[in-house]
Amino acid sequence: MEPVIYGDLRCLQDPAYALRGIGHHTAAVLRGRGRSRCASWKLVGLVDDNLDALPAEFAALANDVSPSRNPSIPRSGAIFLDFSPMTHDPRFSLRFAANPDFLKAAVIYDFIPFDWPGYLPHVASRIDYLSKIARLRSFDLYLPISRYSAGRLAAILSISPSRIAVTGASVRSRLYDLAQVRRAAPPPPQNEHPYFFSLGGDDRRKNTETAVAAVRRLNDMHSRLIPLKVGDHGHGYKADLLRIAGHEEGGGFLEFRPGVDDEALVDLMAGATATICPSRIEGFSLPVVEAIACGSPVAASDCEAHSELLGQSGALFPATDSLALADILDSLLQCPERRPQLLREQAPIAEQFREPQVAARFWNAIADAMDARPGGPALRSARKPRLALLAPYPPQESGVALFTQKTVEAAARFFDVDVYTNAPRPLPPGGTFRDAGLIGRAALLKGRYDSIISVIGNSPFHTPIFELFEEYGGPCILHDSRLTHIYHFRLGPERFRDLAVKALGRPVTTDEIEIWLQDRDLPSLFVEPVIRKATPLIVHTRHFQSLLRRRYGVHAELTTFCPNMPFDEQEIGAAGRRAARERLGISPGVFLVSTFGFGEKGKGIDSCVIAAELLRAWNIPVELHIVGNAGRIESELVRLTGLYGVDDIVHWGNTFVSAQTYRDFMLASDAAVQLRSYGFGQASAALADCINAALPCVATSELAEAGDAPEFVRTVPYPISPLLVAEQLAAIWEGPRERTLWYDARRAYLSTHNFDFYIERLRQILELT
Amino acid sequence: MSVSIDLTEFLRNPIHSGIQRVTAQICRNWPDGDLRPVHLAPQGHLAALPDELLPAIAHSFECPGGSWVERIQEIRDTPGWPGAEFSARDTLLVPELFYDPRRVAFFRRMDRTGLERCRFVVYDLLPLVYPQYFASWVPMDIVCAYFQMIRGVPHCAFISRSTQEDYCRRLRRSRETKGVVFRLGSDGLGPKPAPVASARPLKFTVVGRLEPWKNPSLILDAFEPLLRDVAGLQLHFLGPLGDHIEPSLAARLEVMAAHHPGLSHCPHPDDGTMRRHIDESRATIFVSVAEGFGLPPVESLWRGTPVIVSRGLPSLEGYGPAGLHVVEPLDAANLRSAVTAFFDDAYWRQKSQEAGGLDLPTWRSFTQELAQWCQPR
Repeated sequence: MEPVIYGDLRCLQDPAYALRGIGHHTAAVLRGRGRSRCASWKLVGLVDDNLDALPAEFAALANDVSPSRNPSIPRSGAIFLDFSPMTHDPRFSLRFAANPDFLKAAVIYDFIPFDWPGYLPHVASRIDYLSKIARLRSFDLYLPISRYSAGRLAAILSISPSRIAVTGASVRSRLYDLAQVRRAAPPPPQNEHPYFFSLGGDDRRKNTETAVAAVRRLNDMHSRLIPLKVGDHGHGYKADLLRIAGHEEGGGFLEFRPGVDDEALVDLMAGATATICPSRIEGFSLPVVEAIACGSPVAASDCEAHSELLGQSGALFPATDSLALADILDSLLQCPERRPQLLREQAPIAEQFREPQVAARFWNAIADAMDARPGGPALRSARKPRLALLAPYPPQESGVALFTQKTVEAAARFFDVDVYTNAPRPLPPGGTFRDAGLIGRAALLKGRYDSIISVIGNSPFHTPIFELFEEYGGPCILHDSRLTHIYHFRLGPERFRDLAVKALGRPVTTDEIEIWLQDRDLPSLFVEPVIRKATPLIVHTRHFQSLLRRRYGVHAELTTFCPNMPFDEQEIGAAGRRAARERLGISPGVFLVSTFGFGEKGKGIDSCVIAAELLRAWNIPVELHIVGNAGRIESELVRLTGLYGVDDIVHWGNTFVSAQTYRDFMLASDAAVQLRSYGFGQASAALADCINAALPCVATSELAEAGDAPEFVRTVPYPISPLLVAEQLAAIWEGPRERTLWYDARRAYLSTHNFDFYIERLRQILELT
Repeated sequence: MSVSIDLTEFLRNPIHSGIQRVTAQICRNWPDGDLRPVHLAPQGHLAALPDELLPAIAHSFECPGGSWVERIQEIRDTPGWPGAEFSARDTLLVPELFYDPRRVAFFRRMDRTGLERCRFVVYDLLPLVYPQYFASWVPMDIVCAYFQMIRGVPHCAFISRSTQEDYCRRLRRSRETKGVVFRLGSDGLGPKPAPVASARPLKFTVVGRLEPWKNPSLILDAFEPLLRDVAGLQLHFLGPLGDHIEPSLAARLEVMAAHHPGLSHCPHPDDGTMRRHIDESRATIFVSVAEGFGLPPVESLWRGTPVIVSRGLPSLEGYGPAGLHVVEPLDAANLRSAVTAFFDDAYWRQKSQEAGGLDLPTWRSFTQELAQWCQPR
């Protein structure tokens, strides 16, 4: 197994950076990975959904592109690369920055905003920048683009030189190629129409003023037109430069050449007597190397980055000293030998900053740092993986809460588990876990986890988990196969409609939404945002896995759904069942039919009621108990039982059913009915419990199939016919009802539907074995 | 002694298809004209309607689109029809299926004596027995309330033995066979034509509402390659898209019709159109897997046109293979083979002769049996 690299690629999404130095350096380094020691390591490009889409040319540089920034850390190790640590919101990478198990590397461009006045005009901007500087401390490896920047890093943050590897910045290969083509052509005569070039830019730090003043002086000295061609400058800056030049635009030596493409740039530089780089401060200065690569000697200010590149004093001048610059330029005009001589001296510089050379330095540094990691994967595999679970938890009254509790109990053998939940405290004892507090960024900040898993479902208990998951993504156990209700609850009707419009690509009416909220005619499962952020997405049924592949083309990892309620064979035997019936006050002659779980539309309770009426009409002494909180559908139950005249044999409650009562009904019942008016491969905890209790059951066929139900679960098709439900129940009534008959089938089911198996699958899926 | 007929649903929706067609045939063919129309008034009682309603219904079927429908609606909308009175020897015939809570409640309130007077015609139990073919929006609580009511009434007639079986063995879960079976008439599209000797074009017709259980997709699967490869082959669907059909079927039908000039869909054919298509076809196709009766095959056989059918259609109970080509097992390849079998003139001719020789019930015989059943006992 090889390490996984997570690279923050926001700088390539953001047009303000993608086409400038930062974006160019990032793309160049990524392009060079294929020839490096890290070529076979998987690179995941991290993107922000709130920015523009990552252009395809950049996306192709990663093995995978993901908006999820909460990955599990594989035992083989992982690397986080921040390609632009000083520009974007650092909360994006909380998971990485805080976690000691990632090798964290940052590209360091410069500290100009810190070192040069004017870049941080407000208190807020200063705080923001300083906080980003402070955050740099959490990195393990620094990849500055110059020794100068490395020096500033060491000076500001006291970073040890052993953690710094200077890579340089690269000039795009296209310039070298164009320059080569141009060199092959006959050289233009340099002295016939000599001119100077300075790329400049609208940033006053670029100091084009000095170049203009120097060339004006030359023009005055030589009494002839010696042009200075400069690049793009803003309106105000341009006016100031023309004032220094002493002429109107188009009326003298100063010529503006805005918007030059690479071909024109090569021509401009190669044809110039010299290229002037007068910046007051730079982190690297690409124009210096570009000019040399294009065949132009460079006269540069003596800022540290320039001095580092050019070394020799003959081409350097103090940034504010136009006379010194004029002297250098004049020597080039006066002495025909000077230009080729200077070019020869400077030419080796260009070779050091080709893309492959820079990329090789970059990836070698990463690979060396991984090799040098103390302990490495071996050390990590010696301890139990650390797991954070963000989930509902008892005493929250939710099936998922109970399921999570069982998961945590079983996980203790293999994981150190922290539970983050908004459940009321104290959490029930059991298992070996730590109550880590409320759901929030703390899980990401604490930084000790190999995996932070969000447990997501369709009830409001999951709201805080959604808030975090939508921002950071990561491993996700998806309990429900449609998320209509939770999104409607969280977003409200209007924003939910917006979500639906986006998902479906068509207008959506309120009436449609009302139908969807009844789990009918769903055109989407409304899982799209979760799918996008989940890495990996973990589901509980093969059915749902296939559905996701079919509908969305995504691969979900599969583990099996387990019964929440443990039973042993003695307990579900005749004596245990008799005792449970006595506790519940159920007469021996009654055919006790129960339906388990929250009473809600979509679970076919109406069909159960009508089926009970049919059974009674067939002289079967049925009693139907709805074992679960039926408060939400109570008025409907009153109406239905009145309409069908079965209010004496249908029973329900409107509070959460205690575990003991739930168990007793599992034991006491002669049959269960678990129906769903929607499919989507949804698992049913109640059905799993019924199977564990070897309780004969009637279920909708898709629910039974999704739950890998054995033969004592009889099926009815969807839409649900009460007649078919009643017929299946009558067959149970008329047949042998000893649960011992189903023990073999139950055991076979439990061999793969238990929490130990579940945890083993989680270990495999999360690569934490 | 008199017989009243409850026309509540017919008056609400006086169309020419489905159960309304049966109701109208009863009105047309009732012997001696001794039938009193009634309906369930908004006030919740049975109101006696004028006798002229029955000839209006009969005429509206004989001359579709005329002023008779307006007259029916006028009668329906006239308020204040007097309450219907019933003596101990009077009978109320209820020949309609109704998933109508108001109507169900009316009969549930009725005492045993009142119910003893009633004669219900039961068509099918399809939503209960084959729910998978129905759309999810079917209000099962209302549907089941009708069946709960009908389960307990003393006198039921069924349009097929299959429906009777479902009612007795499944809905009542009883070994006792209850009620009588009256087979629907086959002559709804007119009298038996003279046998035709000349060969017909390669034309096949599917009659009836397009519903999932009638397998329209399977028919398209079977015909798709044939329409492409066999010159002059025609396939005509006559009947509306049903309420339970997937929208994708309509789209597929449209796309295929655009590509194959031999394929057409006429959603609202009148009797003349149906007659013409059936009479011109080598065979009609009826491969339904769930029917209470299945009228189109017997109407086709009555007209002397053979039928390609699925096994076990209630309307063909007891008839043997004459005039039929049974597709078994029912799949696209076997259906395609059945269709190509009829390309052979000799085979078609043989099956046509068989069809023409069948002795099938008529609407008159059906109504006479019904009238006899309605006599007080």
